[in-house]
Amino acid sequence: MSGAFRQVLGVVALAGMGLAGACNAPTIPERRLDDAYAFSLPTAIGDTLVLRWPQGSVVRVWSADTDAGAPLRAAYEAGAALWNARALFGEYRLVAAAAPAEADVLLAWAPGPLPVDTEACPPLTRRGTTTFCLREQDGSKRLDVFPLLGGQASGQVRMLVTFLRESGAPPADLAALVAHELGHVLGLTRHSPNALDLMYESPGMPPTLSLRDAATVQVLYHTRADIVP
Amino acid sequence: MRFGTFWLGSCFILRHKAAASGNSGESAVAKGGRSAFERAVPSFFVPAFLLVPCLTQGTLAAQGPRLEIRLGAVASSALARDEVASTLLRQRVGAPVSGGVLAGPRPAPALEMALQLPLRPGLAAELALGYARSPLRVEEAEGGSWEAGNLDVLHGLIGIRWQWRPRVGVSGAFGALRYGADGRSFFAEGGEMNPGIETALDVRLPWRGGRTGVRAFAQVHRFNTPALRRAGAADGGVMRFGVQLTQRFFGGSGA
Repeated sequence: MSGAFRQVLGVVALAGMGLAGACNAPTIPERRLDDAYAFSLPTAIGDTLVLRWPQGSVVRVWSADTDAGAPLRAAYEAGAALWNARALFGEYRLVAAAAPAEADVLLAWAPGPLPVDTEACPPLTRRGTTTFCLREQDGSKRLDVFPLLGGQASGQVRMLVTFLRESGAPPADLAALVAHELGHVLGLTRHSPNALDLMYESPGMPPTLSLRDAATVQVLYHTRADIVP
Repeated sequence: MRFGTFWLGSCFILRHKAAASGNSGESAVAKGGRSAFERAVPSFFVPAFLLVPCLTQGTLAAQGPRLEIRLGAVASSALARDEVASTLLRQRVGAPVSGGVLAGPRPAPALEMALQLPLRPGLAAELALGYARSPLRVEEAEGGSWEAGNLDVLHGLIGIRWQWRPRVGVSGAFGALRYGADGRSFFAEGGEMNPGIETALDVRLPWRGGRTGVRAFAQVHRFNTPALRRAGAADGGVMRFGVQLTQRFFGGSGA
């Protein structure tokens, strides 16, 4: 074996050890004050609460338009893809539920038949509304479960998202409306003050997540929650 | 006790009618960003793998190639880190924010197939292809943890093995690794070819004619993904290391 070859092997080994010592995983830098907007839920008594699903959870969403390609279903799939792409560490995942009994969240038209009883927690009739009711039990705050209608087994629906049909037709900006409401479902309970963000109170078309939207949901999912659905 | 009812809504105004069309700026950023080196890596390895048998043609007839199957376990350093929020942002949030997040594959079984082509006594070129699958584990500085899907890791290496002692070989190789994770987590916008190097030491066990052995390796490779890059992460380095049982299936049993 030639001395030169031994030297080459030695250099490779040393380089490997040197690089190993220098290993530093790609690091997302800390978000600064202007990179994110407020997300906690203001309460009637003046404090704020952080609402988010448990880290690593799958949030099952049932859409009243069950046919693939139907407006609400298509808008849901586009909106869920936008938000799922920003769960960089798998903090949450929005997936379609096959039936209301399997869902955590329902998307439905208003007015329209709902598969749950809303008497105790009625939704508002606006263009897009996310409704949930908070209950304090044994010192912890939880979201009420909407009971399923028709004597079905007890469900787990905790949020109801309703969209107003205009003259019986889906609104032209349904995609933006649904993507925005999914932001509320994930726990971004406030609106952004910046008109370029999806979570601005009247986001533009087509729906896109701004860097601020992405940073805010990422900070939210690494903040200790006061309410876990 | 009923605490309250909340309606989170929006007061939409159709600021941009449905006439808006074309790709968003966001998707345009997602498609870019790969350096010329990264694009060149796959186009380099294919001809390189094809070229080695040609270069060694004269010696193959004399000593013959060897196929080695390697089965073992591989562990890895963290793939990505998130520093989450600045002090000022933490103060504004008003609730405890994590001090940082780390994600990396859990230790997992790994399979590798290597073709060794003798160049001269004691020296062989080696082509290796390997695969490992493991859960991507995420940990917060405060102790919380969860799994974010499964990671598939494929690697291809080309290198040289030198028979250092009668039963001990050392090797060095370079190549590329590719991660995949069903389009989830920081692989939501896909993965990339990651160039890397490997060093290894193998010992032939004194039974079955020396066809069985034990091998330890360490790999270092560059790592990043389009989604991490978009979130502001610069390229970093990752170390993988492991132990394998090896079995030769044809060719000579010695060097």
